[in-house]
Amino acid sequence: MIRPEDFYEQEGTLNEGDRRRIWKGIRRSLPAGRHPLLFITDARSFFYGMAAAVLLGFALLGGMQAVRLVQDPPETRLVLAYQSAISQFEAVVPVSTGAPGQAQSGQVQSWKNQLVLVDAAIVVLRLDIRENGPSPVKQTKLRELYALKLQVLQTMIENGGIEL
Amino acid sequence: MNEESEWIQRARQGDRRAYKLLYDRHAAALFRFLHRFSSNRSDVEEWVQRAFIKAFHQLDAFNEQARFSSWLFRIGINEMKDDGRKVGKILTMEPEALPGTAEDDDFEWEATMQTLLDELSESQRMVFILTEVEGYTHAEIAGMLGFTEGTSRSLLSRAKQHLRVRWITEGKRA
Repeated sequence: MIRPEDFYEQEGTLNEGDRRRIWKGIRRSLPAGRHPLLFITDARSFFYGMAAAVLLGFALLGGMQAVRLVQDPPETRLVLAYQSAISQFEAVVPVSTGAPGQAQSGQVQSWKNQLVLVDAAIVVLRLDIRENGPSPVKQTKLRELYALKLQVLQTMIENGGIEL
Repeated sequence: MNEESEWIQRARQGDRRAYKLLYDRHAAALFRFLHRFSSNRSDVEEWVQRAFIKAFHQLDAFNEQARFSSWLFRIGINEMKDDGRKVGKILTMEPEALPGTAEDDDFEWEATMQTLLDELSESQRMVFILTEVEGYTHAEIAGMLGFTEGTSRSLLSRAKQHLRVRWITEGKRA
């Protein structure tokens, strides 16, 4: 076999400049491959996406919390607490929930009348909230009514208006 | 798997760096071979470039039982032929080999035979260089040039006979 270096003439060889020029032309015609920068961009996109997902998760949690607060606001819990306290109180002192009787003193009668009025107001307001939705004013009013009822009951106890 | 097979696999998946390795290995050999058939360097660069581009896009069709270089040479030769056809220059192919044609085992290359190579037909010159210099088999050359092994052997034999006869008659032999 003839050695290539003994056969080919010098002008038939590729120098470095020719080699680079030809490759440049070839590379332009090749489909874009994965470039390290693209990989970096991909990773960056990945991390941005993860961060966005985390933020979205927090936003969803916040949204769910907000919905829960709207559906079950602190005021509602407070009202429930009042109701619970009153129910427990009335369970202990059933005399206070009985219809006003003629044999009781005028003061006690007055307190009982107040309780009837307050209960009626509570019923009307709760009905209104159920039908028309809550509002800060209604919630405040309801809270005040429950507080008033407790106050009347407390007064009745302290002043002997209730037989324990 | 040898390293070249690995490069081919990676290039098939779009790895340009792997294809650059193939280019670095084979570009010079293809260039110097094609340059024997054209003194116009820019034409030869064009053929080499187009050959590598075509080879890349046809990598899925490459049969790894064959050598990548022989497949690449075939593409490069076809690029040269296509350009020749455009300018009305047709690469003439010799007729089929006659039965009994044997290779000339007594042939010895001499550097002074270089000038005599241009007297050969293009086909003879191609077969001579591809066997005697580039080391391809007649089967590979047949695949590259589109004829049979027998034709390749016949072309080589005729090329060697011509070179020896001319070398002697030209008084080159000392």
